[in-house]
Amino acid sequence: MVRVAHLTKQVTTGDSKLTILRDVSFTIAAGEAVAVIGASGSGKSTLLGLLAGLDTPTAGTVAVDGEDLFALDEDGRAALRGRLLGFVFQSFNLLPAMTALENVMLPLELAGIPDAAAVARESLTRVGLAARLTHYPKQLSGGEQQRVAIARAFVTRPSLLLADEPTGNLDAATGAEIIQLMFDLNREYGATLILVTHDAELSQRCGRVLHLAGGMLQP
Amino acid sequence: MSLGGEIALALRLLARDWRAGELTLVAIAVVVAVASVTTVGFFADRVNQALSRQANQLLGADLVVSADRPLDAQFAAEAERRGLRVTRMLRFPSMAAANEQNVLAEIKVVSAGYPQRGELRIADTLYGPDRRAAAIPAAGTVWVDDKLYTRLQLQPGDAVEVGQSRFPVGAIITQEPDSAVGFINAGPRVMLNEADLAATGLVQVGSRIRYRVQVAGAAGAVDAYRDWVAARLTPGQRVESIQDARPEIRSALQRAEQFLSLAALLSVVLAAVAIALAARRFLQRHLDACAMMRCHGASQGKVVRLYVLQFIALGCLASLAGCAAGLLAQHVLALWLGSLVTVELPGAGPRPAVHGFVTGLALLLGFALPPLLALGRVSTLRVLRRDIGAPGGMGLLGYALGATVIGALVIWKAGDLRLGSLVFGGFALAMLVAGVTAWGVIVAVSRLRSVGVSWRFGIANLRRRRFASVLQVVALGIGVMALLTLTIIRGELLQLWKASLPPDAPNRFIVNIQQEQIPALNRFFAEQRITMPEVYPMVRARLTRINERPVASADYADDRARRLVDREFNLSWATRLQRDNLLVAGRWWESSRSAATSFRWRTASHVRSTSSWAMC
Repeated sequence: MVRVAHLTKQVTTGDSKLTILRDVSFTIAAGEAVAVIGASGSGKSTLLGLLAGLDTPTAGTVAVDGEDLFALDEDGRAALRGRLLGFVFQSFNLLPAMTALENVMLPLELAGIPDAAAVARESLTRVGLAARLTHYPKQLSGGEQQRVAIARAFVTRPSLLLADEPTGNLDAATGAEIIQLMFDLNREYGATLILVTHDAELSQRCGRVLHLAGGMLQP
Repeated sequence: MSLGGEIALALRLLARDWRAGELTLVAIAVVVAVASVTTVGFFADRVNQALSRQANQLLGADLVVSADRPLDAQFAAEAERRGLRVTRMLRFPSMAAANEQNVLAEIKVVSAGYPQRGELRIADTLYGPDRRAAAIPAAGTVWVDDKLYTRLQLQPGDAVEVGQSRFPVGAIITQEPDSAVGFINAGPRVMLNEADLAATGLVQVGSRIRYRVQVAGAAGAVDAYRDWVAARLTPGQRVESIQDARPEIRSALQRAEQFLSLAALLSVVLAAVAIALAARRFLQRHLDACAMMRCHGASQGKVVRLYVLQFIALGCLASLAGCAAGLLAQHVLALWLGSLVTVELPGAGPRPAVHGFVTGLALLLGFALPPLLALGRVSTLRVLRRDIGAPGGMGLLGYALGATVIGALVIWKAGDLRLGSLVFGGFALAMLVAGVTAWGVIVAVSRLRSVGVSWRFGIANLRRRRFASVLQVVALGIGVMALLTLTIIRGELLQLWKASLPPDAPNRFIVNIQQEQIPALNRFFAEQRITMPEVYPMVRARLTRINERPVASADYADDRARRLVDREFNLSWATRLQRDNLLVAGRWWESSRSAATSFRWRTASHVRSTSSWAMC
């Protein structure tokens, strides 16, 4: 599903160059659940951004579903994301001007899928928010907002789900519920999951763990 | 996704942003701008339409030959020979009296067949039902209008004294063509059959009578007759047709429209400022939405198209609302000016709405397009790193588009490249001064040290966002300038108008006083315990020679000078200089010298003369 080869990311700060990722290579099979762990600044989020084609590497390649992300242009990568990827973010990234239903509808609307409202309603019902359809993000608790984000991530039936510290802004009990929901849905839809976290306990729920330190993959 | 699908999605996004209050300020700014422009536009359009529709009526004929002296019989004879219908008319101011009341009235003496164009309507009783007049007043009677009827406190069967004769009032005029000043309220009217003119004894040397021959008929014949007349006009005579009916009203309206349009444009400038600031805010608040859309698969082009379509839809709706508001507001304007405008105004045409619509859309897109285009370049990585800000790059170029739109609108509305350029240049200069000043202040403030934590944060913020801060100062400065300009212009106009009249300027004038009427006038003022004002002699004359050289209008390129040479002057004489007269050149008349004249400075400057003139 995902093949990463010799991925390197450097950024220029002032006169010096900082290497955030150094020659990272790995492969993830379809349906696999993989955790990427590491301390702050280890390059986890940078790796996630590159896997999603949100950022470009200094060197190396990323292939998703056999397609080389960086052989595509910006719009090509966006189209691939729309087709294959789903996202769950630490800070939920819900749009404040839209209701829960509209937030979940947005990926469907952008893809031109008819009856987006019905599909989104079904997805929100699946995450237990049937009674919160018309609520705005600011009217929802943190846990509810992350449920909306999970509904939005799964509504397009993605092949690959990328989750960036999904429990980082939640208390322990709510975080546990959210993780349970995410894993349940992942199983249900048969998606590949890449979960970025610094929580070692959470990483143990995944089938495989990739450990990043100083921008390098640890054996 | 098809264009139809994108439009539908853009409309849904518009509804969501509207509901969240993201677009309220932008919409209000567009509505106010379009309403200002269309209010003026609709009203001017209605008045223009009224002028065009009533051009015939205003003239009372298809063509009029007029003069300050009786017109040669050849004019009427030639018109009749060409198969045109001819009527004669005289018009002059004189006193009308009844019930021991005197009123200065406009006397109109008409011949059978009047009016040839337009409608003369009369009623038997004051404010009673009126009808189209089948003929002119019967010999021995007069028709008066309601103003004269009420001011002379007339009753049915009363008679009115005009000159040396008394005439029973046969009817009350409710509507007439070619009224004295036409569009604006005129003095009270007395209409007289030409057969009775001699009996009034009012046609004397010095009478301010305007003679007219009115002609109507087939368009081709009228045009040919006009050419024939034009070749035979002598000084003091002029020909008017419906094409040049009421040029003074049209030019006054044009000037008023020009001023009001520019005043409305100041509100457009204010709206532009509001739109520019609101669009910046919109950009800042939609960075996340754009990043998320890109994350969900939308291309850069699609994001831009969605927002541009959203703003076009917003612009269309807000412009329509502005047009509706303008339509309502111009009704209020028409009511407000109701006492001045005596003609019935037709409904407004679609042209001002189209102008308003174009103004609204141009304004919105001119100022919102650069930030919207920038939204397409929002980094997708913002979904992971919130510290990534708005894309830069457009900078001043983005505002150049808005400035171009404003410049084009100002020149278009001013209807004059020079005036429009001056207004726009003034604003541009003010922006430059505001920008340089703001930049200087920010640089100076940035050097301040150790003035407390909050100040330090504030100053650091200003320094970091120097360009944006300068832009905000300039935008707000322009807004305040537009408001102040409106306030000052309004006050200045009133002040200038008041200053143009001396405090002791007369409120009333009595003209056409005959020599034998002066003792009676003296008695009247004595009875009213009012000091008798000075009575000035008056005679009509025309400029014939300057420095012994004959003068002809053809010698002058300036229209006003040509008119002055062609027309008759009112001449008066006195042994001492009036205290409100100012000698700007030459010397006052001395008894030892003879035949000295003085002229109003503007008159003399128009015909470029400082030495001896001959009048006859």
